[in-house]
Amino acid sequence: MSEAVNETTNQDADEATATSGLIAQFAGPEQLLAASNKVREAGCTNADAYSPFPIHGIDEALGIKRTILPWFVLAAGLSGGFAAGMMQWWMNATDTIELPLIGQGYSFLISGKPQWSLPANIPVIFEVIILSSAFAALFGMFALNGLPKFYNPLMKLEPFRRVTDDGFFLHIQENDPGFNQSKLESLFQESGAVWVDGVPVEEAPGPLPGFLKPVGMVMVCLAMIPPALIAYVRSTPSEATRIDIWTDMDYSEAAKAQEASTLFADGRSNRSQITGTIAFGDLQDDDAYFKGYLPDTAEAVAGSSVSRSVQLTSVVAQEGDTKQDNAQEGDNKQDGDKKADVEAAGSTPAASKPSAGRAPAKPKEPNYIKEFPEQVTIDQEFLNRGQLRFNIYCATCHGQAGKGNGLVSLRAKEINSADWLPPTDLTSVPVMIQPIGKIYDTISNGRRKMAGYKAQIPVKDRWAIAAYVRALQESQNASIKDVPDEQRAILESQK
Amino acid sequence: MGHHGEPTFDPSVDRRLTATAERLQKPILVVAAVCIGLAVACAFLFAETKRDKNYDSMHADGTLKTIVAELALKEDRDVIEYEKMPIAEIAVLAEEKLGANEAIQWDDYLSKSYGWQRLQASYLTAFVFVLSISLGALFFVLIQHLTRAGWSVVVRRVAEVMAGSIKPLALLSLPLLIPVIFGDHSLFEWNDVNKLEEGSASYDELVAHKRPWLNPAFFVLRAFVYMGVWIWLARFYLNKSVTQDSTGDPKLTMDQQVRAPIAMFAFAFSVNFFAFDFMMSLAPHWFSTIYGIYYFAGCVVSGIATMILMTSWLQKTGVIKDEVTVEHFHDLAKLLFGFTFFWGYIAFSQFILIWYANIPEETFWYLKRMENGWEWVSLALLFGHLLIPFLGLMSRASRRTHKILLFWAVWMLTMHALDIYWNIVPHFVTRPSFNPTDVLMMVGMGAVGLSFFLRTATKLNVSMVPVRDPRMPESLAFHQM
Repeated sequence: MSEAVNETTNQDADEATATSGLIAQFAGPEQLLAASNKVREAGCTNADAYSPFPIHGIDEALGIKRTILPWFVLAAGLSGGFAAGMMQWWMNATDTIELPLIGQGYSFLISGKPQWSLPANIPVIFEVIILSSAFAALFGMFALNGLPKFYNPLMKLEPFRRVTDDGFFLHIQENDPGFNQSKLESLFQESGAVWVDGVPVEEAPGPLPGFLKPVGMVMVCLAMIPPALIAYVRSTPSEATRIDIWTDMDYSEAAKAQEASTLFADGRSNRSQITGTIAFGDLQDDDAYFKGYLPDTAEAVAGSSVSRSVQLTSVVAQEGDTKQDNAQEGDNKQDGDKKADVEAAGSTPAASKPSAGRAPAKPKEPNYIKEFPEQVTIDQEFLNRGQLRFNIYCATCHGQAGKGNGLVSLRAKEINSADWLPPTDLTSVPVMIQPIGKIYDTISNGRRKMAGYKAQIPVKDRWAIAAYVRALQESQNASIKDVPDEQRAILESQK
Repeated sequence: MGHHGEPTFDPSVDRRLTATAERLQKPILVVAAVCIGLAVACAFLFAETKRDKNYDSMHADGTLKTIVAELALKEDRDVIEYEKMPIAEIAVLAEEKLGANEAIQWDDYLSKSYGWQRLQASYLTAFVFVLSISLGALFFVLIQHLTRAGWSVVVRRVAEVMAGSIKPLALLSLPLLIPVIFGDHSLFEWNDVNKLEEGSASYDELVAHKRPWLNPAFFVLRAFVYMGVWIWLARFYLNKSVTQDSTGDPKLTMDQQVRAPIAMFAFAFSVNFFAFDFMMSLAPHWFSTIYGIYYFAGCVVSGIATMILMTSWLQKTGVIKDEVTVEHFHDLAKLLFGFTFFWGYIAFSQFILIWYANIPEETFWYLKRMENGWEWVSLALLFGHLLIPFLGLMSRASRRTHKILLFWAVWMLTMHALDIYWNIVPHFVTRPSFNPTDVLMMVGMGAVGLSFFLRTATKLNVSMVPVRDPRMPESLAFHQM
């Protein structure tokens, strides 16, 4: 599409349209190249050539300097890689550095690797270098080209449409230092330009359609609703079942304790111990250590296996039989008899046969061990442990000094609790003469109103508590003469 | 249409090497002989003795293993505590605790020299190094035909001749193969028949299991196959190309092109298994499936580097005229850069998998290269073979400035030599020390390789540029974007 040069310039002059530069069309790449050279020699530094395919040598002809894009790419690549390394270091090797909005790292050992180990971190660093370099190259290229642009004013010129086909164009902008309309026009003429025209000024963008503003504001308001809803839901408690979209491993198929099961005949998930077996580590073969007494004669064992309460109620039944004989004495005598009989029985531990009208003799005591079992080593650490556990489990009732004045006991007295039996004073003589095995047995199985603690306290700790009880007995019944010299000096200075 | 003057190409100008070759052959062979002779001497002079070695139960002989077992019993220690202990120290302990032993005379035992083994290791290193250059050149030829490339025509003949020198180079593998046939196991420990006897003190279950593959007969047969494939491929492509110099027949190009895919397959398999056989089998307990590719990457790096140096030298001496331009060197530099990084990628892949799994059956190979001073060589490789050249060859300027490019070509060739050294020698030397053996052998072997290059060029009376290749105009007009 070629027009005579004169007509076009006349037209321009007639219309007096503002132009932002000149554009010329050439027949082929050689002519374009030659013209580009001339234009550059004429002093134009910002000329631009347009052609359907790359033309060798056009860069030099136009004086286009090499792009600085590679430097962007290098900078982005290196900093991206460095950032990736730092990210991994912060994520995996530290947990003390807290970043705003993000939080702390989570120092975590992964299969024994060092927490900050370059070989493991290299793949990520490498990939991020590639990624950041690629982004820099792509977006940097766009930016350096001034893209995105609304439109190019050259597209408004009809001949320019051939640029992707067979049109070769040279464009010089008005703000180019070498721009001189007449000089350039003659230059184009000499170079054999097929068409020359002025480039229309890039128009200011027209007014936005009227509906955009109100519609836009409505859309923005609507867009705020989902985040607001989310914020609301996240900040208020709710009893409704949560919506679980990605259930992942939330609902495990594993059997839970006490759950019913269709797998077993008895319908239970819990499996009981197989009869006749003992789990590893559960075999308590040392009676002295595990029970506090040694195995005894069958008689005593048989006698001691009957619970005391059963023995006492059998006394009441026997008393009832003799009531018919001694109707008058029976009622009054019963309670007093019981007490007296118990006392009588207490002072004759040897009696084993229950006789009519008398409470059965106290069963023979098990053969409590008198020394600590050999598995136990008494040292300061052991006693400290005993003290610690005593204060946890025992001191609530027995008091920290073992006197029986623990807080629970004091409270019970305060409220005049009807069935409260005062806890024994552990530092009293009757307890002091007990063999150590008996103290252990009391802790394990209880005595009278005290429940047994063997379910809560492991065997070794029970021995530790027993040792501490001995220590308490020693300390609460000692005089200043028993105190070692160093401690004595300290105590006396505190007077 | 070129913006800078296109080189005017006159096919009738003499581009043969004959004159230069005649001048240089003798001096080169003298240098080669001297270097190799000195290398042999140094191998025996500077070899390690048993005194320098550490105990390694995987490789110790039966006598030593028995003594260590007795010591362990005597000292009430676990046998594993003696690993990596210097054998000299074990000798001292044994003399103290176990007294005099008839089976072993410690002085004699400790003085046992590893000269023959050292020589073989050095020879293998040099051979594999020089061979890798020719293999890299062969790869270049094949890939140009595979991709129907036009830019590389002016530099392809140099690569063809370099590949053509594989034929005489193959003969140099005989000093390695003949001892294997005779049962020598100082280089290839899998060749030790004692390791095959179940019940013997040196029984090695893994080596015995691999015997069907690692036995002298099959090993040598495979070596012949590899060499045969390479020689055939190199000769085919060189001959076709040279014939085209006189006839200008485009069909010759088609012949070469059509066979390129299958040629590439054959090349890939043969190079891969060559690396397994000649380098990986030095540690028969170890394996790495990427090893062949690792060697291949090194081949291409050294091949391209040598192509750059060779083309530059030929142009300087006037054999090649101005048809090879800065644009062609730029493309060769790009290939050098790319394959340097490719080498690093493969080397790191091999390392990280073994590092991450941390399985002793694989890690011992790397552990050996991380102790006793070898860690410095490893670091030198990491920085020198990957990181520094990557940054150095990255910029356009370094690829288009001839002196800088030559510097990096020499650098990469040196680093590749270090790479081969690092792959082979740690099996035989406990502590890396500057031993002139390796350098002398490599220089000597390199000189031999160069003389083979000159011989190949002059025997066929070839022009160093394929003057009547149908793609020549494209190559002459080639420039970078």
